[in-house]
Order: sequence, then structure tokens, then C-alpha cells
Amino acid sequence: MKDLRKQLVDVLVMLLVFIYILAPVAVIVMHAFAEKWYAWHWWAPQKLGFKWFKDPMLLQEIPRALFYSYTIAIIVTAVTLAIAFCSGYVLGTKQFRARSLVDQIANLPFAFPAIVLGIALLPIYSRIGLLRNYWGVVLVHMVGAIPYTLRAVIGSFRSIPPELEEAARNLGASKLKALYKIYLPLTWPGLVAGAIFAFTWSLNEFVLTLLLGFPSIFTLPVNISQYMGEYFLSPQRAAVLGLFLLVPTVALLLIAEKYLTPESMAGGLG
Amino acid sequence: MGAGGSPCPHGFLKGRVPMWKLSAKRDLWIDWFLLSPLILFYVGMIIIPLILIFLCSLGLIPLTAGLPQGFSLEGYRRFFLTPGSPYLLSFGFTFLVTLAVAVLATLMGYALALFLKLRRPRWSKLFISMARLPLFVPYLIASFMWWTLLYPKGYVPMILKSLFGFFTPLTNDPYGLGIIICAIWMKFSVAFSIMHSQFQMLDPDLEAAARNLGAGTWQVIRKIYFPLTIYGALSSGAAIFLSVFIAFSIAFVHGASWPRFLSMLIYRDAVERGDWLMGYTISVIYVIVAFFVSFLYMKVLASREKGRRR
Repeated sequence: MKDLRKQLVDVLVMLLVFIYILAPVAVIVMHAFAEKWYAWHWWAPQKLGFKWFKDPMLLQEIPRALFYSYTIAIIVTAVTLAIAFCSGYVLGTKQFRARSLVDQIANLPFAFPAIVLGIALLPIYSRIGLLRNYWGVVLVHMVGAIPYTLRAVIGSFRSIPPELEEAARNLGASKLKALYKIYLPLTWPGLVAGAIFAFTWSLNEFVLTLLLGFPSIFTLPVNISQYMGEYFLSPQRAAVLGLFLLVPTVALLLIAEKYLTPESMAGGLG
Repeated sequence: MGAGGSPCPHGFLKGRVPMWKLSAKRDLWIDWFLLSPLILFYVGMIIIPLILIFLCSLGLIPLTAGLPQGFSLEGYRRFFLTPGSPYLLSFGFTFLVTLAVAVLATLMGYALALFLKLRRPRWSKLFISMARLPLFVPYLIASFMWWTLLYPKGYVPMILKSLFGFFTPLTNDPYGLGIIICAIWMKFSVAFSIMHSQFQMLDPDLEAAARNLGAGTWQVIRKIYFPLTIYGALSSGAAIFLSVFIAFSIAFVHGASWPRFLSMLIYRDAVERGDWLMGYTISVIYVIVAFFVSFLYMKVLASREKGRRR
């Protein structure tokens, strides 16, 4: 009897946690698929369907937002990976006096409010012609993407025994050749995790794009914000756009999960 | 690399320089060359803008219109010394709301990790995956999801109205309830993940010994689990505090028109009102506090590492 009561309590706690976690996700899905949802029938939509996915306004905006979001994310990922791979090698395998300082500087964006960076860069961008510019947005997305990618890549470099590089160097390989032939194939799990993190970071970056790219550069998060009261209120349209962002992000990050520490995720994707 | 030396090929080094020394020097240059893109990027995109906003807040560089010409502490005076300063009020509001989120999310994560440790329920793997889901949801989407639940026609107010017959604003409210509710959902997973791994690392012999000596569950929690996991709880609390303190999207969606979250106050002053002096001044204070919290976080992490090694 006591065991049964204990099991019941366990099931109840787990059920509550499941509801707590899934309720917001379920509501956004319902909003996206609700064709008719009148206020007096607040508990559930009267009719489900794909009406909002065929909305003319969204059909006009989604291709543009998807183009900007995904092309920027791809470029950010490629450049971030190149930088993180080169510096990750040094920070992950070498001991030198300034390492801790460089390491701390690399972590700066974790504690740097994006809005502060945005208003600091706004006049600078305006003077050098990067305001509302595609490449200006790419650059600023990299600020947030680099530290996460770097953490993942450094972890990978640290897991490789240094004897491998020493052996290659003793056999006459140059440092760059060792980097290319030894480390590149062995650090791929970290690089994949880092790439996913950079990609999802860029895909979800909001405030910096709003400040430095909008209205010329119109990514999905900025587009969503327009339907959340910035221009007018349309939860259904925002929900449809939200799904375009939520589904790939959750899928990609679940793939990368095993390579990431909870601390590295504490900064979130804000 | 040989112990022998070779004459310097260029002749600008006097005497004989060992090959390994030349090679080590070249390696060092290559290391710095590999680091240079990162350093240059951060200097250009973070360090210089940071220095500029500091100088602008003092009126030393007229980067935008409306800044004082020459050195001035006007922005800081307005922030700290204006009677009933709205900036201090906003700062206090941000600090308290963030603190509430950090404490509640950490407690929730701790309680769930403890529940898993003590009860080991049958579906714990599914439970762990589910509890980590909020880690993967972007801030803006999570904020929007909670907004659809909390806005006046959302489920939560409607259920409250049906059950208790009253309506209370749960988002865009002056107490920051929307921010707190949404941020707890987003951040308890951080505390849960850290605490769960902490509990997994605890030596089971400690608990077995205490149980053999007659300790009950509460005593085991108080005397063994709590002291051994306190640094984990503190570090997750600090990490949560920092990430919510500097967040923009949650306040953008759930914030009230007053009092404003600090990130929204900067947005309003600088972008909407064109009051760049106050935008930069608040930014400097914001960054200093954020760096101070991250410094504390690193200290707690270092203590945790030390405790683990012991």
C-alpha cells in the first residue's frame, strides 16, 4: 500500500513537470494551427487547419525572412568555425603566459548585454556604412556565436593526447600540417557541436538584428516580433513563424546536446 | 630538433643559435598568428565599443548627437542623484526580478534533481530529457510561448477567472510577474542539469554509512547532500542570474511600460528617445554589474572545483 502511494506520488510529480514543460509548446502549436478560435471558446480552437501557413502576408514575408536568417546563419557558422578552430588549437593545447587573459576575453560576450553592444555599435556602424547592411549583421552575430563554438572546440582539442602532435612534428610535419592532418579529423565532434551552436545562435539572434539590421535585414526573430505588438498583434502569425524557428533549433541542439555542458548553455539564446 | 646549433642564415643574429630555439620562436609566432583573428575581432567588436561607450558616458567623445561637449558626469548624476531616480528604480526592479528568478529557478531545479536522486522513478530518462527541453528553446520563442499563456485571453488568466472569479494581469505587469514566470521556465533546466550531475557524482558510500548509523532521509539531505552540493547550487544560481540580468527578449515581450527592465530602459532612452547620454551611462553601469556577477560566478566555480578535488 505504501509502495503504491509512493508510485502514485512519483507519477503525479512527473505528470505535473511534463505539463509545466509542454504546455507553452502545445499552446504555440495550437495557435499556429487554429483556423477558428473565438474568445468565448477560449479553452480550444473550434477548427484546426493550415490557414495561417497560407496567409498571403506570411507567404510574402517568410521567403525573405528565411533567406536572410539561413544565409546569415550559414556564413556566421563558417567564419566562426574557422576562427574557433585556429584559436581553439592554441587555447586548448598550449600553455603560455597570456592564455588565461585571452581565454577570459573570449568569454566576455557571456556577460555582455546584447543591447549594450547594439547601442555601442550603432553609431560606429552608421559611420562606416555597416548599418542596415548584410555583412554588418553577419559580423555582429559572430560576437555571440564565437564563445559558444570556442568552448566546444577547445574541449575537443583538450581531449586529444599531445603526443600525437609531437610524433607528427618529430617526423617532420610542420605545425600547420599537424593541425590539418592530426587535429582536424580528431576534433570533428567538437566542430560539429560548435557549428550547430553558432548556427542556432545566429538563427535566433534578435536584439542586435533589430538594432543594426532592421528594416533592411529582416530575419525570422525580427519578423516574429512585428506580430507581437511591435506593429500589430497576431499570435497566429507569430506562432507560425515561431515554429519555423523552434523546430530546427530544438532538433539541431538535441543533436549537439551530448557535447555541451549545462554551464555553456546558461547564457541561453537571447 | 637537435641539440646542435646552426649559424644564423640571415646573419643578423650574432653567434650560433640552436635550431630548437629558432623553431620554438617560430612556433610561438604561429600560435599568435592563429590567435590573431579572434583577438582582432574581439578588439574591434567588443573592446573598442566598450571603451567608446565609457568615454561617451563621460562626454569625452561626441560619438552621437546630444552628448555633452567635454568631460561631464551629468549622466551619472542623473542616474544616481536625481530625486526619486527612475533609473535607480529600474535598476532595483531589474535586480530584484532577476534575483527572484535565480532563487526560484535554482530551488526548482534542485528539488527536481533531489526528487530523481531519492525516488529514482521508472521513467527517469524521459524525465531528464523533458526537463532539459527549455534549454533548447530560444529566448524570444519561449517568451512568446509564455505570453500566449499569460496574456488576458490566455489559458492561465482564463482558468484563474473561471476558478476564482478574478482577473489579474500576469504579463506586462508592474511587478514583473510575466518576466519571472517565463524566465523560471527557461532557466530551471540549467539548475536541474547542473544539480543532477552533482548528485550523480556523490559517493553512494556516504549515504549508506549515514543510513547505517540511523540517519533518516531529511538528515541525509541536510547533513550530506546539501553541504556537498551547495557550490553547484550557487554556481547555477549565479549563471541563471547573469543570463536573465542581461536578457532582452523576455523583457521585450513581458515587460511593463513602467518600471522597465534595464535592457529595455537602454533601448527606450537611446533608440526611441535619442537620449544617448543616458543610454551609454546605463550601459556602463549595466556592464559593470554584469561583469561583477560573472566574476562571482567564476569564483564559485573555482571553489566548486577545489571542493571536488578535495
